[in-house]
Amino acid sequence: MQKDAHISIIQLIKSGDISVQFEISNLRAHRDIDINIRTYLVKSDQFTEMQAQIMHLNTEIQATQNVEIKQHLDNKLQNLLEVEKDFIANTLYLAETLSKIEPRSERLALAIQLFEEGKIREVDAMLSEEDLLNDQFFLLAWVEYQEKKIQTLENDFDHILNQNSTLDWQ
Amino acid sequence: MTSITSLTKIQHWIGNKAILEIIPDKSKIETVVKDIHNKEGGLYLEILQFISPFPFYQVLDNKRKSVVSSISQSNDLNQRLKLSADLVAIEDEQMQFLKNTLFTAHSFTNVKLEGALEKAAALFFKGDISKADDLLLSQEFDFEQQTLLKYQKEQKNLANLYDQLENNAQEFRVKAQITMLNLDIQHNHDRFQKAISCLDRGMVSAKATKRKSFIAYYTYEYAYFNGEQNQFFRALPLYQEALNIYRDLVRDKPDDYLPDLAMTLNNLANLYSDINEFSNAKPLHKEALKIYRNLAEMNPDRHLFNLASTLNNYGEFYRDQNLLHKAMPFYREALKIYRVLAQGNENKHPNELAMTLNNLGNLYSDRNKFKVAQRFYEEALSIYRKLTAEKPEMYLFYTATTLNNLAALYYSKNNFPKSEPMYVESLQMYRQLAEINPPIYWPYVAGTLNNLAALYLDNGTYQEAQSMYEEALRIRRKLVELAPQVHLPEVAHSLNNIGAFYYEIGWIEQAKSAYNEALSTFRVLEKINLKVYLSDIAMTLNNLAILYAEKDDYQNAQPLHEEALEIYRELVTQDPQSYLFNMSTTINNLASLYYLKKEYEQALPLYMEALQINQKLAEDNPQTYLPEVAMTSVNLANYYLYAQPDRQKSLYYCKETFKAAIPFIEFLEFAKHNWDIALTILDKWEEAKESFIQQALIT
Repeated sequence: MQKDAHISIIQLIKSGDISVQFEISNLRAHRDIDINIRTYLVKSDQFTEMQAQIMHLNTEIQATQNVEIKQHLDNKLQNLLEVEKDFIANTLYLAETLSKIEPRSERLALAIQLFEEGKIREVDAMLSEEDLLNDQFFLLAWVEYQEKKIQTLENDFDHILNQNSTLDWQ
Repeated sequence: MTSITSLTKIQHWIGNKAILEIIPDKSKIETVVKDIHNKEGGLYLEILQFISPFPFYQVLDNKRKSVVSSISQSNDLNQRLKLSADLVAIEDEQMQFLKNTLFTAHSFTNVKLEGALEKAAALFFKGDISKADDLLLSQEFDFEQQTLLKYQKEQKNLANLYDQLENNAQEFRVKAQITMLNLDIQHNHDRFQKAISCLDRGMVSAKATKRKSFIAYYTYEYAYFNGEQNQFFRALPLYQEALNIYRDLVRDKPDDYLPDLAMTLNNLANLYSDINEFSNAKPLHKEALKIYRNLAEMNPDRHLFNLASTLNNYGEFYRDQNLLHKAMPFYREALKIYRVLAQGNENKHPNELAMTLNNLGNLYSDRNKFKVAQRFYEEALSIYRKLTAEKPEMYLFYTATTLNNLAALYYSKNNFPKSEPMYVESLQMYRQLAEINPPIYWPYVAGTLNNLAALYLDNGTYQEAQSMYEEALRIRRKLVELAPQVHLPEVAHSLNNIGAFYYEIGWIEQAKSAYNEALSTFRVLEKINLKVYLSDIAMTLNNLAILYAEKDDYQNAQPLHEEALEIYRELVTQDPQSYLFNMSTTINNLASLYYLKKEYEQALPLYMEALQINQKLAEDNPQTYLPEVAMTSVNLANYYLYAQPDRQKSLYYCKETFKAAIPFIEFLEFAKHNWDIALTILDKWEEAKESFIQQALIT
């Protein structure tokens, strides 16, 4: 039987196999992270592109003899390593968020599925800011209308109650 | 759910407390009816008082009374039997009526009694069922009911809209987080600003739900996001806002919201600690701990781990302020809980357990509680070894660090045979890690090389010591090129160490140059951060002074010693535990300098002061400080031999030297050296060595 190679990062967080806080404290203290996280990260284009850039810079640094160029490339490399660290930390924070959310829209459910597949750019595109704002605009308008409707009903109800308020409790 | 307002209204109408207790609960009604039917229970009078105003019950009761009377008057057996059957039927009907009436009363407790319904209820409880019935069938009630149904439907629609708004807020939150991963936006600052604008939009949706619990949740998550991105001052007011809402929610539903309140308190406290506002953090830690203690008592499965984490946070809060004695009880309690949690499942939170053990090891080691520290380190080490076997990429570092800590502990007790293999193993692990990630792990390699070199210097393995000191310095100089501010102090420390080593093997010029470079580096660093490097300056001054004194250059040596002593006397007033020993060493050195300059009146009180301090230190920690007692004693023995000859006093201090040095002479070069000097002094006084030492050791 073929082994299932799919690693659900969200599931690993939910089950407690990966502790986001522990991993991030390792990351910040310049230590290594759980192998499952790396396995997940290489599914992301952005991460692999970054890895390729890091490798390329390392090769260039080793190849060059000019001290100034070496220093310049090294600065670029250090910056990129910082970006890589932030990228990993933010991926973990997002995975933690998604592990706790119950999606109530198809769009959010799909975004979670894409994230699991490492398709970070696609998640970003799926949650288009314009769509979210349109939804919000529509929902807020609808809520306002609905609240007014309810207010009218409450007023009607109060009116009825006032009419019947001659009741003798004693 | 029973409406309290309805019950209050019903109470106005019937004023019968027993009935008010029965009618909200259907099962109680069943029981009461059954008891009355069986002529059991003590509520007969209350029930009778309640049911009597109902005309139909009166009709039945009159019927019952008449049948009872007929039975008592009749002598015909057949007729009596028939009447008895009628009586049973009437009583059954009465019971059925009672039960129906109580159930109807129960129905009124379940609804909001307003308008026509309120009128109907009032009529019912007065016993006027038919008028109540008419009212309920009237148009008035029908209109009211329809309005109510419509209202309920619209409320449901609104709830559904609020659900969608919650989802919209969550989508904005995810969008904010995914924006932080969007590397097509080049600058981190721009990503963050865009993310914040998404979170702000989400907050609009969250607030539009008017659901306090969701608003609190979203505000908390917004604060958490800012904390993650190190935007502490943006996070603070948001946590504060979430905290205020949770406090409100807890007032109404403590069981539902206490865990959220505790978590918010915890995060806010940690945030205040992060920005060094400890006085703001303390009451929050305290309150979070109190809540978690209660929660863990009620539901240990769910809250024990949180309680342990909170205790750990509290411990760290004190450790960050260097209040180790206050941190300890919190760590110990956290440890106790982690052990309980591990009992059920040893794979549960092993890292937290090991980390707490290691923290406790560090605390006890700092307080010179060797045995306790050793026990904690060893247990942590055994857990980390197991974890490393499963996940080396994660835990090799922790195993190496714990080994290093344990090795340092043994080294501090001059137990080199135990310390050396641990340092060696730790070094090997750090080298392994440095091969994979050099800039991260080379500092650890250099640190361990330094520790190991110091050990080799102490046990006289000079070649090994030299190569390790030199490699450590090479690594640190290389690291300075990458991050000068981080690694410059380490280079200065390495220079100091290597200077001490060169001095020890007699390479005075090399030693002088290393010390001078270290001193000028520390003076530069002191200008940036005054207090932190003062002790390093004092140490280097001391080392240089010793070197000058050795070359009989007392002119240069004396001001250096004096400056060092002045610094240490100041540092001791702030932190005696850390600097008392350094001060006594400097006093001893300055005394030796006066002795060499033949300024004996100056030397003697300083020697005496150094001995007194070392004896005091040795009372608490003999393993570390007895060799120092031996050193100051032999100096005094020497003083009373040459400077101010006094056989009795000189021999007395020889005796003190032997007593203090004996446990260490087999393996500690320094102790052996002082022992040998004492032997030479015995020779000078023509004292029989063997019997003298025997006598000294007996006493």
